[in-house]
Amino acid sequence: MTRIDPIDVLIVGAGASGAAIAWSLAETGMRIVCLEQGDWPNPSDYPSTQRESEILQLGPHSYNPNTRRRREDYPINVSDSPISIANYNGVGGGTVLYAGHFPRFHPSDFRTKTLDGVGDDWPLDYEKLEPFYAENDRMVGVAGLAGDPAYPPKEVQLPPVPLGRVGEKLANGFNQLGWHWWPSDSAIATRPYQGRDQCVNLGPCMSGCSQGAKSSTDLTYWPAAERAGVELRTRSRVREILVDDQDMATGVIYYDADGNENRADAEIVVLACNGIGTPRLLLNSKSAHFPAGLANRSGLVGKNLMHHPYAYVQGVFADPLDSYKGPIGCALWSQEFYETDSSRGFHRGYTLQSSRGFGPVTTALMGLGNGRVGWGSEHHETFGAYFNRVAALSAICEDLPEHHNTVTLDPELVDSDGIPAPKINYTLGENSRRMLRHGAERASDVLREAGARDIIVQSPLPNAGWHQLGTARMGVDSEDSVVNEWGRSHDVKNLFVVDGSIFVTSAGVNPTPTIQALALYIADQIKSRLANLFD
Amino acid sequence: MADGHDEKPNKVEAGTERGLLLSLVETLIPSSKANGAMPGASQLAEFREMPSEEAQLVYGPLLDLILDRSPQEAGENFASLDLDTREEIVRGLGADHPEVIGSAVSQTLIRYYGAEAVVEALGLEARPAHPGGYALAETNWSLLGPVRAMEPIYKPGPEREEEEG
Ligand SMILES: Cc1cc2nc3c(=O)[nH]c(=O)nc-3n(C[C@H](O)[C@H](O)[C@H](O)COP(=O)(O)OP(=O)(O)OC[C@H]3O[C@@H](n4cnc5c(N)ncnc54)[C@H](O)[C@@H]3O)c2cc1C
Ligand code: SF4
Repeated sequence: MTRIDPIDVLIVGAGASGAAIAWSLAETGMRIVCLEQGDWPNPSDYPSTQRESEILQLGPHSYNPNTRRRREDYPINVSDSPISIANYNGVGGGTVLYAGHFPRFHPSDFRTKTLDGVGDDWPLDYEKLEPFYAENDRMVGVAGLAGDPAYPPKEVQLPPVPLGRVGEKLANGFNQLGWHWWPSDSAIATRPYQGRDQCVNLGPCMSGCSQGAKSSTDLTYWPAAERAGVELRTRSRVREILVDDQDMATGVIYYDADGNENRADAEIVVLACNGIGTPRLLLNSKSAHFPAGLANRSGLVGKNLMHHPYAYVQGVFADPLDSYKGPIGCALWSQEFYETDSSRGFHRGYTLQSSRGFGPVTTALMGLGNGRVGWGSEHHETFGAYFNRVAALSAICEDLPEHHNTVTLDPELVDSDGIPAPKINYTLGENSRRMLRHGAERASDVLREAGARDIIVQSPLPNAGWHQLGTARMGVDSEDSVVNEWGRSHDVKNLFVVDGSIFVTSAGVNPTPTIQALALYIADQIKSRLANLFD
Repeated sequence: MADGHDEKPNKVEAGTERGLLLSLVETLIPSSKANGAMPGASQLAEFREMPSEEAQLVYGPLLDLILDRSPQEAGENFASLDLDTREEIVRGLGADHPEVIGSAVSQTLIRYYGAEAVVEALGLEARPAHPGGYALAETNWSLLGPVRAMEPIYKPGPEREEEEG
């Protein structure tokens, strides 16, 4: 086993949160090393550089790691979950494939227990996180429009993504119903931003942006962090975290690109492996002091897994919409049904987000699946009525934390280095079911009002496990949380978690701005407490 | 599935069987004059030149079902039947074996809509999206007028509610 020089801060995972904390801590001058199991992505390999782009997305460029099956992808057993996991394992993490929706939480999201009697209150609030949201927005470059009545005042850096015909149809539908809508906050450079080119409306943002317009952290935080002295070691997969008799982390064991086992000693270990990878690593780090998994004296590591269940509703229109042009996810959203209204029969709420249509291959396959596209003599007529005529709305529903939704270790499945792989057990709660139903109905109302002549509902969307939250949650009470109110493990005082695992509740919006704001906040806490960080 | 078929003779190897394959894919996606002059699947190199191993993998199970039928409707005879009759036969087989027909149709759609000639027939540019990209018209944000006129719709956190009394 090779042993490498001692490190001050060792970060595991180079995705959304790992990049943000690495960049922020760099100014301390500490020796910071990040170990990432995947490689640097190469934008010239992304599907949109190929004419067969859609076909590539069905296999080697899928967002489902069980389909992609690259060396760096660990398998995930989802046989006991209606929702499969979507991720990317490499520098940038999920941001390489994300759609770029960039909404903040609402102030009420941090107080669901007090306001609505469900979930739990966070140990911090919107006001405390606001400066870090703003700092993150400036690094990312958020396209949008100030003045959204669904949010406290906030700034944006860039003009909004154009609505296109799809967005205009939907906007008219919302206006006729008198409902809120607003151009999405998007992590997409609609004008050149900090050396990145502007979006040219390629469409398939969820297989990587070859234009470099989408703000993935391989393009935003990492170049700045590396310039500031952070060392990023790719193709380095951490197997376990080591601890001493005083319950302090001493470092990690990891496999390098050639499969060699290495040991890296560190003063501080930071986990940024996401809501599946982090509990997996903690559960794989059992020891005599931590027989149930590291930092798991609360028993909550891997519990309370939250996704955002999606109700995906397509409206099929009579006229062509150019629906395959423009960022697939980002155009507009509505938060008309975001805050709790008890008359709706569920707690909390959801955002309705627009999405555009797909190219011909995906359209044909989706149409075959939902019965809108036939084969044989009816094929061309049915395909012609569907292709390029779809505008869609998704209800992205707040999922409540429930103990029985878990990440555990699969007894048999292992990754390419032989490390036990995760298993998901997840069922939709009654609150989520009711919310999905409501969301699908309201989305259908908008689409009908906008002129759709056919409505297709898919709920819950089975391949939409792209937000993985809550599996090492934060809190003041060590009996009821895994990390404290600034991300430090209650049990291991030099171990931090900064990714989506620390979420207390999920809110009804995409999580990445909040994940990154939390990572910056935790970095700030570490910097301001350096003298007595382990007390 | 592939393993099971490896033991059987490759039906797409022989020249006559290529004709059977092309008649099958044409049955699944025929040409159309009405819908912007779309080519039939049998006209495309994607199917005409499909390596026989690949064709066997994709269409073997469906071809098996066709060849297992009575001689008048099977094999070479299937290829000589008119389109409507062939469709009726395949639909009949599909009723009992939905997964076999589902897989063959999906694979045909992937190859058909991946073909340059088809993309062009749809009126699209047969090129990678990058670097050319696409143009989207600027939005007229006056559409937002009614929303701008709304009062704030978010709930402040409890602390702020208290401050505001
Ligand atoms: C298709 C898709 C669309 C999405 N769309 C949106 C969107 O529009 N808006 C939004 O807010 N969010 C979206 N997301 C989610 C977003 O990507 C995630 O919320 C975000 O990336 C999570 O950040 P993270 O830091 O928690 O983990 P990640 O970004 O997932 O990073 C984790 C990193 O850790 C590495 N890692 C894990 N285990 C190990 C180990 N043992 N050793 C070494 N390295 C390890 C992984 O390889 C990975 O790079 C989307 C995700 C996907 C996949
Ligand atoms: S639409 Fe814009 S952001 Fe999305 S992949 Fe294309 S250029 Fe990138």
